[in-house]
Amino acid sequence: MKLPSWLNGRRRTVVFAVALLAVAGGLQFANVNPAVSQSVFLTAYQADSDPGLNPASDVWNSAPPVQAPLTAQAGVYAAGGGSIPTVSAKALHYKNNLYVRLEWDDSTADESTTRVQDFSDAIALEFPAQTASTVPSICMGQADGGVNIWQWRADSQKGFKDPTEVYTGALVDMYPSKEALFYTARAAGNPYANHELGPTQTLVATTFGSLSPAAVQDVKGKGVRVGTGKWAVVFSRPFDGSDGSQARFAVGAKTDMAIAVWNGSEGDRNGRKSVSQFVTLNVAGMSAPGSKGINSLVVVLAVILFVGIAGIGVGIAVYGAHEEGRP
Amino acid sequence: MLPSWAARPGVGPRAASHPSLVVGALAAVAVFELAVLRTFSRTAIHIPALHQMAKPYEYISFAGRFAYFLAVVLLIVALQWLIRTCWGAKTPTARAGAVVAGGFAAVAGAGALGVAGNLAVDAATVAAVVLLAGAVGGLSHRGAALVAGLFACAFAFDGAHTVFQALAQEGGGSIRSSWLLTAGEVSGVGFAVASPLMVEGRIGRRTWVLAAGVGIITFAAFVGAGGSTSRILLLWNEGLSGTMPSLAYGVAAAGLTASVVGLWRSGQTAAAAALVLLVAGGIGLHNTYQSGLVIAGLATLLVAGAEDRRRVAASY
Repeated sequence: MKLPSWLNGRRRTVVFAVALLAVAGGLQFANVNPAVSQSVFLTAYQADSDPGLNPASDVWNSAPPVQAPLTAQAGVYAAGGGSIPTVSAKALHYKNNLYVRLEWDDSTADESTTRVQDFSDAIALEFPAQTASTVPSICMGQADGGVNIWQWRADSQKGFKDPTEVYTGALVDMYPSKEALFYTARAAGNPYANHELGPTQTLVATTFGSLSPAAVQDVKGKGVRVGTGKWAVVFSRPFDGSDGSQARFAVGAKTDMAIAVWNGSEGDRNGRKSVSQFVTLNVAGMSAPGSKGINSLVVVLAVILFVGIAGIGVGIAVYGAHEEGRP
Repeated sequence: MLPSWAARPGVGPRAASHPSLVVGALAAVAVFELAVLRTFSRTAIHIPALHQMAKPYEYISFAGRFAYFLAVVLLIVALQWLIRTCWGAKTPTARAGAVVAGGFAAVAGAGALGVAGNLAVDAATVAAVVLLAGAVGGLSHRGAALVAGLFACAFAFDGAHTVFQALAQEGGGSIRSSWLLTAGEVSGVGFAVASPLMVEGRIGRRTWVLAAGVGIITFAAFVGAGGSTSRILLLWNEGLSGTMPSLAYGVAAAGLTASVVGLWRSGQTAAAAALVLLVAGGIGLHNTYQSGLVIAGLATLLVAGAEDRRRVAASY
């Protein structure tokens, strides 16, 4: 084939450029990504026994934690949060069920939303929906990449408080009727008014404003107060789930997971929350290596390694500066 | 020796000031990928009635994803060229840089093949950035050395947090290291603010006016109604959480603009391309593609520094 005159002498460049485009197109077509994720990763190790929903279960002692830093939610109105700086996350799997345990500092247990000025403590996990072909936007997904959210709320777990417990000066003569019709939110199926549905909801979203409950609610969760002023919550769901469009898990597979925490006493609700970036959830086929407290030797070695590398870097710079001909 | 397709015409006294064709192409495609895939496709959800624009959105997203894969392929070629060129510079510092960049490429490749674990890839990346920045600092003028050092500090602080958490996952115990992210944020903004020091010579008034305009727009984007989106994009694309005062990010954007335009207008296009690659790669560990952009940016600065060094030595 004869090339146009302006390409004379550039044949090899053109061939090379076409080859690059073809290779890139081939990778995109085959969806083969040569790059690997380097974000913080959380490994879900295989548990020796059923962790259950109890965050205080001894099974969790073997799982190593990862510290996920949180920042104020800045994606949508009402922006805010940021009062919870870090969440400690652990993950296990047992008989094709995924368990994620989250623990964070919160000195107040905000479990009642009876008064309009009260807000509940809560925590949520966000995964790319099964239908997402690329990592979706962390802010409620995007048009071509939905997200699947699991949320646990302290007030839903605690159940209703009698209004007279909250409004101690109130006097109630009688309620004329106790039929569901007179409790409109409950009758309409609002999950926050139907605490018997459990403290955990599964939600789906493909953009801001599209967040809605999933058709199948198969995520379980339970939270307890542990230590001094901490919440610990466990989420659990079968790997495949009942709804094919939601997040799926498998041994050897990785997926992205983000965390959001609401601190009720700080006025957190809806979009006002503390959020993490995506971390990589890696479902491993092996047992946990064992969790310890701070391993001083490992930390010291890591610090020595970093300081050593920095020292070598400075040494290279000093050596290079003394090579002949510094501009 | 440069491959003939990568060699640029007119190798002369200011040869090092011009990036190779493949590095220039990588910088251009990486910017397109950053603008379309990492930014547009994640902000288009703000456009009203997006469902009516579904097809254009899909086409643009497709183009962004293609740019990503093209940038990955270009990165592999560019790294190979940069490693060979650094080695060919025949100075110990440049050769050390070639070994470091080659080591990163090997570990990243091993990670892609599943041979190297996350911890090894993460630690090797942080080490490669620090060592390569050291080599750049040694062969560059003092302003560029300071800028490379600040970038390396930001990357190392941010990356060290990820490495410590990976250590915890390997049984190293729970380590609270989120303070490193704050140190990375300060160093990252410092890198951007100090970046005009890379420009040899005077930055023109028109460049400063342009930079001031970009800085004001950025500041307005951080304090205005869209400030929340600006911060989430900063976190998503650059690895910085946006926790410092908005003014800092406006000044940082102005600094980067003045640097890139100033370098370009003063004929230091290799350094301009390198700075673009560093910004496209971002601070901290995201994935081996973005880390590769950072390594390519630093290696480009190293090649430019080694060429300048050779030119100065030859002039005596």
